[in-house]
Amino acid sequence: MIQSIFIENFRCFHKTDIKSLKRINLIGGQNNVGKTTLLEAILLGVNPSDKSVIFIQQKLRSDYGNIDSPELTWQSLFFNFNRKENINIMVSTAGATFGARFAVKDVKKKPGIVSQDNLIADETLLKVVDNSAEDETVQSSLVCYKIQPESGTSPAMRLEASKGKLKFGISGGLPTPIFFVTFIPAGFKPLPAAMADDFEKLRYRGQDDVILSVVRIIDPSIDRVEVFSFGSKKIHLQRKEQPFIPITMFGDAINKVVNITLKIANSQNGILLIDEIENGIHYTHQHAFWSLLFKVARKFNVQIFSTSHSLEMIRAFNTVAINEGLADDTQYIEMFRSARNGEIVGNMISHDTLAYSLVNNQTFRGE
Amino acid sequence: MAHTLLIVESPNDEAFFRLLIQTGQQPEITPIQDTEIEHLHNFVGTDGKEKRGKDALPEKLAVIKTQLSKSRPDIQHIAVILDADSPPSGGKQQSLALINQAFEKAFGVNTGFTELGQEVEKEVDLSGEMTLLKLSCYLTHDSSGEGNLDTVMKAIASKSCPESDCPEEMNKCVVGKTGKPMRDFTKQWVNYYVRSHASKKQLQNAEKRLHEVITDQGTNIFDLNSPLIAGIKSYLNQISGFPA
Repeated sequence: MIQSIFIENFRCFHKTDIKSLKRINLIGGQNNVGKTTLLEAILLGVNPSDKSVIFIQQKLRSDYGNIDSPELTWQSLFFNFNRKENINIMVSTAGATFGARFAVKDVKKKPGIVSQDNLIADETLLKVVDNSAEDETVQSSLVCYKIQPESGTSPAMRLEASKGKLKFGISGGLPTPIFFVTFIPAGFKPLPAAMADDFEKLRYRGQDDVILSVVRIIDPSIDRVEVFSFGSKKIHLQRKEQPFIPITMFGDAINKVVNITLKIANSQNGILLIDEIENGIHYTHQHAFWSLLFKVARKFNVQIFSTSHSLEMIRAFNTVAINEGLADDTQYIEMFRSARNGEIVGNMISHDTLAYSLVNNQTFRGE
Repeated sequence: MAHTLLIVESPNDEAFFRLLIQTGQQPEITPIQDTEIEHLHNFVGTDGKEKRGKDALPEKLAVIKTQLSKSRPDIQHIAVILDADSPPSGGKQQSLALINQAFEKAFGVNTGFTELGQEVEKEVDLSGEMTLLKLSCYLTHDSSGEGNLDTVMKAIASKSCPESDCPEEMNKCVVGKTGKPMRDFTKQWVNYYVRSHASKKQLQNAEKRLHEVITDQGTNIFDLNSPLIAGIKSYLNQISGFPA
């Protein structure tokens, strides 16, 4: 479990130190204050891999690089787009401190014929371009250094952007992930077959009861959960004496809570990052949802970081944390830009103060 | 400009201390620092019940702490004035201990106040940013060293007032029959005294507007040169640049 994170020169973060993280962390704040970026930093800090970089750039930010000017490809990762200042992300657990440094190296080279690269996540970059007749171009690389205070800093992997393409030139081997990390983006709709696979993993381990429990929070009449593979593989839900219905025919809430619960249960000893957890979940179900989430996270030893704009979701989080005696296991973090020094801060608000703020209409979401 | 935030118990306290600061101002001689005053009323506890005065101080300080980085970067001094009250629930030591505990809980610092007017400088962690804050406190008290702002206001009332003098006779009668004064007599006495000087408009919602009477009529109905309030004026001078 990570206890603190230091972020330097990453996207909107100039220099931010967030301490006293707990098992379940709910993050609130105004738009564009860095809530999603904090999740990205956690991902890069504990798992600084090529996939993590491509995921946050392409899947989360729809930033596919710049195939005409490779030197611009990585700039959005850097504070104020300033590639000259390295990104540093340091993470501390109870027994260790580690992290990653990202830097850009530009090299001038003669272009050649560029072939399609199947590793790229989006087809907009899958171009075959003949640059051989052009002048010298820049190859811009994002170099990741693994930082471990005991053993120092060592280059771990490199992502190259050349004119016409983005490719992975991995040197030194990928860093070993410190934690298994899963990221659920805002508005993410899981693939039905992937959810079914996750459910079968749980069933294999005899731990699938938790899915029926979470489904019943939304619809207490549901009696059974099964996976059927004919047609297309999907989880199916059954109400008493009713036919099985594919989960995709139910609303967003059931799909969302099932997916989150599956990800927790299949991320044992890992970290789950959830952007905008409240999406689709009606406020009347939020208390029960948090209660179950707390239990499942403890059972599978998963640390959760989730963002939310929802007043009801924050209230439910705090109420359940207090009522179930989980103050030491849960934390609400208010993010805002400090009026004193302009830095983004993560303000740890105690359950008592949050409860007090909620009933007295005080501000606690960065206002 | 550097701000002092002064926290007091009630709207009446706020009006009275604001009056003392304003009447003491001599801007052409002494530069006056900007002092904000907030009271501890209109809060609801997490149990849904109203919470006010001393009971609300720890939560108030915790909320202020979150505001210092977010929206109140100019505040460099947090000052607290509470009633000294009387033992066993109050008194100087009990009230100072309550203030120390509230600062400890909200800011994680040991203020260690043992005397009225004591001021300490503490480095406070505001969401990862270490900030130097001045913290200080004072207890409103009468000549016995105990009491509250009501006992002080009653003592420095400068006008003859039948609306409060007659209840004084009634209280004497009650004391004669029961051996004890009427419950909250001093508070009621001040209430009658201030009400008797209210305008018609202020009487329309008197409970909520008595503090306006203190603001409007305070210099006429209280002896602001009384030695009894020399200590509090000195403290206000200390935190706001008010000339002693």
